[in-house]
Amino acid sequence: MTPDPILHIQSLGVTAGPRPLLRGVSLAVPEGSVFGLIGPSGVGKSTLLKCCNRLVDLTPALRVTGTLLFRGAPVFDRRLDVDALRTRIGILFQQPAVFPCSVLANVLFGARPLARVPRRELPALAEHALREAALWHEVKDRLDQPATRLSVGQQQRLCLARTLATDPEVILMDEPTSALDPQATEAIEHLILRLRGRRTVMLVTHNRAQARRVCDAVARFAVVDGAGTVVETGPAGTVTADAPETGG
Amino acid sequence: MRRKSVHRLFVVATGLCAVAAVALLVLIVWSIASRGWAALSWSFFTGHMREVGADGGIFHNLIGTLILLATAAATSTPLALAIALVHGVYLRHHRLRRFVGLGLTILNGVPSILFGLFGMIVFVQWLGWGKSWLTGGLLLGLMILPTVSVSLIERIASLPDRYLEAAAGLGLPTSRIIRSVILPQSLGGLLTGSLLGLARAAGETAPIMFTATIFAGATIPQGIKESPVLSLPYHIFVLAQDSFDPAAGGRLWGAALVLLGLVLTLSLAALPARLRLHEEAHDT
Repeated sequence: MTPDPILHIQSLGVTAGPRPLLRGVSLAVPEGSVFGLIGPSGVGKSTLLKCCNRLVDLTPALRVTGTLLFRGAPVFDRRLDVDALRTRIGILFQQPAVFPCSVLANVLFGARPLARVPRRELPALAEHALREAALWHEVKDRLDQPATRLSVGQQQRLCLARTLATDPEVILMDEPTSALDPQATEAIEHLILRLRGRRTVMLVTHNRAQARRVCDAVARFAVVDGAGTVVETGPAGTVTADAPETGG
Repeated sequence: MRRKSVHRLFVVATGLCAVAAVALLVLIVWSIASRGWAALSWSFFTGHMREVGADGGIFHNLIGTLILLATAAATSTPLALAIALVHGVYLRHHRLRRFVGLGLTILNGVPSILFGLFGMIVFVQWLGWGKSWLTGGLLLGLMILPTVSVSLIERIASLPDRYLEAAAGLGLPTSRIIRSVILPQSLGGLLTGSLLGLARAAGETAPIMFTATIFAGATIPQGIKESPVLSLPYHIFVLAQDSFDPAAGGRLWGAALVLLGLVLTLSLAALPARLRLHEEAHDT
C-alpha cells in the first residue's frame, strides 16, 4: 500500500474574474519525491504552485474551487494559519528575489522572525542552510556584504538557502533555472537531487531534459476548452518521451 | 521638410518656456536677495524684534516657524504612514483604493484659508485653545498630508511584487513584511514627501494667522492654550501690509530672504532622494 500523498489536489479550479485559468486539476504528490509540472507557458502551472502555499491570496481577483490537501488538511480552510503554512511549504521563483541587505540577513530573513532557534544559534542555522544550498564556500567570507553583489546563480541558491532555513517540508520551484546559465543550472539540479527524499519538491520546468534528469514523476499540462488542466501523469521518462516537444 | 520645421519650432518653443521658468525663479530670488541682503547679520538671526519690526532680529519668528514645521511633520508622518499602508497593503480592492486617492486629492484642493477657518472654529473656539502653536502645527500637518501620503503611496506601489511575494512565501506575517520589506524601502518616499510638504507649509500664512501666530510679544511657548508663536510668513505679511517705516522695509526683505532660504533648503534636501528614485525607476 502506498503512503498518503503529502499534497493531494482534487478537481482544483482557478478563475480570474470570468476567465478560467485552471480546471479539474487532480494530482497526488508523494512525500519526498521530486514532482515535475511541464507544459506550455500560460497553462497555469505557476498558479497551481501558488495555490499550494496560498500565495494566490496576494492576487485578490483569483477564485479557487476544489480541494487541495496538505498532509490531509485542506489548505483553503478559512481558519488555517496561512503564515505557518508558508513556512512549511516554501517557494523559489524564476527570478531570485534577494532583499537589499547582507547575505547573512537574507538567509535569515524568514527564519529570524520565526524565532524557533535562540539568537546565538542563528549563525549556525545560516551556515547549515548555506551548506545545504551549496553556497557556503562561495560566501562564507562575505556574509556581511550586500546580497545584490552576488551573481544571479548565487542569488538563486541564496534564495533556496533562505527557504531551507525555515525548514520547509515542501519546496515549490517555479522554473528556478530559466534565468540561469548552464553551470548555475547544473548546480541547482544537483541540489534538487540532494533534497530528494528529505523534502518534497514541486518543480515547474520548461526543460524536458531537466524533468527527465531530476523528476520522479511528471504531470503534463495543456489547455483544454480554454483552461489549463493535467492531461497526463506518470514517471518522468514515459510522460516526457511521448509528449510533443512544443506543446500547446 | 515641413515636419522638420515643425520639430524645430517645437524645440524652440519648449526651450523658451524652460528659459522663462528659470528666469522667473532667478528674478524672484534676485529681487528678494538684493533688497534683503543688507538686513542679514548675525544679530538679525539671534536678536529680538524691536520697534514694531523696524529694528532688531527675527529670532523668535524663525524659532516659531521651526516649531510649527516640526509639529506639522510630527502630525503628518504617522497619519501618512497609516494612510499609505492601508492603501498599499490592507485595501485589496481597487475601488476602495481609488476612494482613498480621491479623498487625498480633495484634501489637497482645499484652500489654505479654509484650513485656517476650520482650525479657528474647532481648536481656537470649540476646544478653547485660543491661539496656539499646536493648532498651527496640526493644521499645517493636515494640509501637507496629501503630499506626504501620495509620495509614500507611490513609493510603496513601485516596490517590486517579487519582494512582497518572496517575503510572504517565507511565511512572514503582514506586520513583519511591513517592518522588514515595505518600510525600509519606502522611507525615502516619506522623507521626500515630508520635505516638499514642509517647504510648502513653511511659507503658508492663511492657516496660521487666525489660529497660531501673532505679530509681536510671543517667545517660546510654555503650554498649549493661549500659546501663540511668532512666525516668518506672518511677520512678512504684517510688515508688508501695515508698515510705513522705511527701516521696516529692509527688515521685511531680510525676513523674506530667510524664509526663501528655508524653503529652498527643504526642497533641495529632498532632491537626492528624488534623484535616486528616478534612477531606480530607470534601472528596471
